[in-house]
Amino acid sequence: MTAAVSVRELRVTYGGASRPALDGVDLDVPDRGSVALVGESGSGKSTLALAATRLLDGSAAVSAEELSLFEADLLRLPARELRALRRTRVAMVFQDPRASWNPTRTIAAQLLDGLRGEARRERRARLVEVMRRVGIGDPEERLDDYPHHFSGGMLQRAMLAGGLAHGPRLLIADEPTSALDTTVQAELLTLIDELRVEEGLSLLLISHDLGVVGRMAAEVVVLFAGRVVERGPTDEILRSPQHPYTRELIAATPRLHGPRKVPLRVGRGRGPAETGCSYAPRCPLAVEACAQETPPLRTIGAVQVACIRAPVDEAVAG
Amino acid sequence: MTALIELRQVGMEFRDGRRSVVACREVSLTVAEGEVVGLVGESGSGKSTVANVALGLLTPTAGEAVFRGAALASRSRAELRQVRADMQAVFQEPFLALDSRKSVGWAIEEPLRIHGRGDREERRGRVLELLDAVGLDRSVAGRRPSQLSGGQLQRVNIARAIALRPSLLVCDEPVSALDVSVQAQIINLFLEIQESLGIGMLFISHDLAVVRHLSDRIVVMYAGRIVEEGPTDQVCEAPHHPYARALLDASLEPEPSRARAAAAPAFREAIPEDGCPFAPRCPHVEPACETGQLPLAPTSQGRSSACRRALELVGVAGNRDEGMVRS
Repeated sequence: MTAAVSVRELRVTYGGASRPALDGVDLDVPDRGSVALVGESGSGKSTLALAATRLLDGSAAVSAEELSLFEADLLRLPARELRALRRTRVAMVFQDPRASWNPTRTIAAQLLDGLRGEARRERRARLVEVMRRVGIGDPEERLDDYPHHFSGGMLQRAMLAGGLAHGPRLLIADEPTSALDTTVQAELLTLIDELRVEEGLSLLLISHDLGVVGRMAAEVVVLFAGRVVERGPTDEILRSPQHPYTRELIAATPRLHGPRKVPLRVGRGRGPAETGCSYAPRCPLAVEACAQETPPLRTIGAVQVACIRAPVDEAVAG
Repeated sequence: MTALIELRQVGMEFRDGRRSVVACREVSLTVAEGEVVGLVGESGSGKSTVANVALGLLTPTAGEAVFRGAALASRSRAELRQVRADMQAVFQEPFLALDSRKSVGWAIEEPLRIHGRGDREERRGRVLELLDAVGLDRSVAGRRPSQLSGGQLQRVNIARAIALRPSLLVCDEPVSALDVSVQAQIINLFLEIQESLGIGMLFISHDLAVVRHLSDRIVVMYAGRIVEEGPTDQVCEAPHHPYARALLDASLEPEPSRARAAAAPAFREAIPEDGCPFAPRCPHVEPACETGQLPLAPTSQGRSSACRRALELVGVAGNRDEGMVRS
């Protein structure tokens, strides 16, 4: 089976930064699979998605043993072919729908920019078709609207339409619904699900919201301070999280059932440690050894965990 | 319980030349002393307008806002000053609420200075006390806002808000811009100060789970109107309005193989001039919903809904599997 994304030992350091944004990260998105990257701001999840498509600019130093997209070696691909590959294979949606669009140009003008070949009329006909696919009514008219005529959810749909026009095989969605209302989020996630099935898309989802991740992704990769701390099947990790940081993320999320008006279980946020496990300063289970060495990923059951205390005894972890 | 703030049939219409927008209408709500009322709804539903009316920052175009028994509009300037000391606000963007050129200590001291509380020495002492209360290191007092994280900044804003020992705190999306872990810390801090100070709160969020965690009662707004109101547990268990039900069903939780939430019928159509504003999206719509406007009416003890089919639907929609797809 071909992989949509294959990354080995990825290291990214932004110019001027003292510590790498990503430090030896592996990532695999199977063809037609769905993988979510989870972590807090600064964990490196967006950097990983950008690096995986070589979209980071020159200010970031990138090294990797492998970096490939549908078996094309991105480390060696000439810039021109790299652009063509991204354009034809990858669709992207980002968090802030407004920031992704130029307010002074129509939706059609901006989406036509991205389409190559064919006469203008045919390209426009293709856009009308994909706009309809993403559930935008009256696409002929809506295409001539400006971004401010669209709601946030509609702009995200139009962004998806622009990506779909190329017949992509991978969708990278970076917090696609974080700026949207709950019911609009549900609509957009349903649409992404439908498109995945119909178009045979692979999904790389970036989110800080484990509810969204549980809804969308078969596998999850939890990042903390530029390293993978836990990875495995989403259901398994939500059912019995092994890394104390994953446990914190789940316990810190307010719920619709169960006790309320009680403190949510969360440590005080202190900066990541320079040596040893970077989560140790916040970790309720930290022992002296945690400050010594960076724990490697170990396989425990169906998941991989970078914690010397795993598997944790439920009674100890509380 | 005595009412701290009471909105009576509040309407707010914004005009710009010939255009006019009605941000909210016929909104009545009360926050009693020591009570936490959660206000939930989507963007554009009028939540923030309600917050600003409650704070006296907007004068409503209909109805009135009453604080401790007297309408805000009828108060003299001097009285308003006293009222403002007694009700404070925390907003969504922690950085934007602070002056970037001034130190954190200065910012926390500011309300004490404005309201002439204590001398310089006493105010300094109170700032340190407040830093302790919100869980910040005392050394933070000398720093600038740009040197603090989003979570620390929100603690500073909370310290400022409680500096004058107000009896009401109006919080407009105070945790929406924060990471999950930091959001949890700030929620915990709200719980702590609410309990220790017995403060009343109007807590606004688009996130039902956040509102549920903190509130005694929940008020749900849609298209500028209150569509449902009731005790938190009851509203979250079995909502009495189809929009509240849609909101609940669309909320996602970090659970394995959870039922995939069903989306409310795609797309927000324009909100109708006449009839129930939710009718175009409502799965239970009937012809009668398209004309007239049902006011918020009691459905059971302490609960109200603006849906004509509220009680009839409780049995049907109360089943959480109804309308949900497992995949």
